[in-house]
Amino acid sequence: MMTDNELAEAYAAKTLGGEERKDIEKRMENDPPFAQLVREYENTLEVLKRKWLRSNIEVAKKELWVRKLIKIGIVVIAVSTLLFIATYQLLKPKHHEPSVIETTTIPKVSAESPVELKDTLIGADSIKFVPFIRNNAIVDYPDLIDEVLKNTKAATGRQMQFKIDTFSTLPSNNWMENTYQVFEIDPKIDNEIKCKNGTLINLPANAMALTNGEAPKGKVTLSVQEYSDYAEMFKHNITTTSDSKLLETGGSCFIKAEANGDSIIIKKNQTYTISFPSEKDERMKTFMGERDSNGNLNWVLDQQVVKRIPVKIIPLVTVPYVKRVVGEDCNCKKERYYFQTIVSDEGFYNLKTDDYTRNVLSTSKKVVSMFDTFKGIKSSEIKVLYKLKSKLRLRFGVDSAGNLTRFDYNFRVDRKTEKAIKEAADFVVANHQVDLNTKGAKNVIISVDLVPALEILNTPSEEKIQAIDSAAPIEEQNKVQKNNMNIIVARSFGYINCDFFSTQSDLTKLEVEIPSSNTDVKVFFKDFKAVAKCVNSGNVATFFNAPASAAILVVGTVVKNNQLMMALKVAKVGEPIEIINFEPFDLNKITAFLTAKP
Amino acid sequence: MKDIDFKNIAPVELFKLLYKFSKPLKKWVKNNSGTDADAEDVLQDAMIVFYQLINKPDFTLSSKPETLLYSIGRKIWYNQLRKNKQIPLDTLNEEWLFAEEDSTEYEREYQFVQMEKSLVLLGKKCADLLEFFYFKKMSMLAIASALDFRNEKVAKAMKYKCLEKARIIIHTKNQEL
Repeated sequence: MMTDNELAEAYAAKTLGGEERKDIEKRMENDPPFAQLVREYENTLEVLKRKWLRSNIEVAKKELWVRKLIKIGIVVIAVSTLLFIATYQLLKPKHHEPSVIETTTIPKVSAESPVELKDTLIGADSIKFVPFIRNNAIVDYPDLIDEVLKNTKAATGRQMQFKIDTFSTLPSNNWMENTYQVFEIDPKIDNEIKCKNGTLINLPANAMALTNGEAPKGKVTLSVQEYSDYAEMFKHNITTTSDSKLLETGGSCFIKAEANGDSIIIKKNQTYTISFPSEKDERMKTFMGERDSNGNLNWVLDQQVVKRIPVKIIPLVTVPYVKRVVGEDCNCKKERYYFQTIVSDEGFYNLKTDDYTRNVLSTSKKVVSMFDTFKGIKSSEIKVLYKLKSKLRLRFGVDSAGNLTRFDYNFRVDRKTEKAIKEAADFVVANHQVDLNTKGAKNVIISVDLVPALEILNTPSEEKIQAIDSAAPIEEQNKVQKNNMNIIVARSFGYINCDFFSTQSDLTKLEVEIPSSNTDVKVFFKDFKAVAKCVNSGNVATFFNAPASAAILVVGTVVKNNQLMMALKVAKVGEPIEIINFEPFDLNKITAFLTAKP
Repeated sequence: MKDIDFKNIAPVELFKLLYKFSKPLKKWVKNNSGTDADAEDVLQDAMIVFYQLINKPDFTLSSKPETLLYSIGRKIWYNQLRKNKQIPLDTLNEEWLFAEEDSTEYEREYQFVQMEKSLVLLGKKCADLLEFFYFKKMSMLAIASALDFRNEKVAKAMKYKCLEKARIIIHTKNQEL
């Protein structure tokens, strides 16, 4: 049974059937309070409906506004695009296409008297004029000589025309190589990137970030250019000077990183290492390159990276157990000792033990002695162990007389790691011999298997190299040679150079005579790895800090009469050098010239 | 425009269409002592009346929708001006006198607007609940889920309470008017 309120509400909401409605209407006629109640409900629902309709109006209004905004947005974008295109068209430098032969007119040239021709500009190209032309004058430009001399006599008292060569700077270096080696890496883990020409980039886990400081989501794409030899350096317009001072390079590269199109940087206070495959030189430092608007590269010493950290040190928290291995000839009881290895920033490590172990150690000189042997193990090896998430397992045996009979350590690894070790191309196995002076076990020779799964970044000690050399196959020995790389620490991406200020003495001015100040002259030093770009003034290209008598390769490039030309020359600093005979540009010829062995 | 079935069109879509015809009415309100806000209010009230009018079972749209909207809006505004005594008698013209004829209907319209404003006392949750139930025709289960009630029974009980609250608010306001 419905209450009056429910009936009134149902009537107002029009949820009742025809008969029921009629009954209620009849009752309303005779029951004014009930009729009032029904009206109240009707009013209420009417007002609620109006409120609902008004909210619908607001929604409609909002949607219309959004539509309007989108339309405005589209119009704004369209107008901006048109404006941009129009502005671009207006500001775009007009491309001047000079004819191969430009002509000019000299009024009333006298064969006897000097004729002064002022420098003139035709279009965007500067034109080389010989300032004075005399009868039988020596003109440096062969194309001009013929024309001028042929016409000088005939030109007396007449007007004459002659051919002018036009020179301009290199076009947008369309012959330059702009390809990258691309690597996709997981930024959350340690990465060792091996580039085509042997450069190794070791990026620690979580060292990279987006420019807003956030960690990159997903993979990071690393694009690398290696400038491993002169040919590569030429192709990429790489020089090795720092504010005109010559640098001797151990390798350089360009690195950029992106994640989903966003630039990636190295986090503040984070570093990574780059190992260049060049003869190790302790003087090598990190230089960062900056290109000016003309594409000239200047290297700046990264003062903040003064300490060369050969390997990234990761605190090792793996807990290797030292277990006494009880041989058949051993009466000692089975024991397990607890050690924790800690690798310090300096690359040394020490061992921490629990009280029980310490007690054992204090009573057993044998064990202590064995720990002493650990001091010869480099932290890099420990790091490698850690990288593979393996556990170092030490074993030693004591014979029935209490003498140490066996000491070695090996890996205890999970299957995944074991597979990784097996597949790792640079897996090195070598023997290491240690003389132990232990009580009761004097001069015991102990064999230790060193099994770094990745190559050892640190230079092994001499004795270790010998041990490795004697044990490792040739292929492995080649790997060891890599330890002789130049390793630098970098704090950012970009142009990175491993080099040092040249210590070559007796610096002098190197001058190269050129046909036009637009000629690009690069000097490649033969006896040490350095490249300099000359500064041009008139017809002379100069590099002010060249070591006297140094053997050099000179490469000149210029656009002459709208054609890219080149000139190659082998020379010595101090000799008069001129590059006049230009030939059509041939990159292969330049590459061969720069990489030819004496 | 003739092809549009105004009776069966969703309210939001109808209002979007009507907004396109809003300029003459708004302009007229502003030319007749109204501000921008007045013009918008009158337009919205006219839209609501338009909606209710075309949804009457016996109503047939014989004129253009923009004409009807304009006409409704003008009457609403006339009524409001008269209510505020802003129109001196000597400025009354024939149009005004014609509008006077059915001013009762628009007087009621004015009262509804006032009652609607009083609904602010109802609270958002109650207003949403009643809107979901009566106009969006949602089930009690869906309402309970949308408004975080424990179950549909709670939602049903709340609906009763909210309706009663709304009734009292509106009745009180109605008495005042």
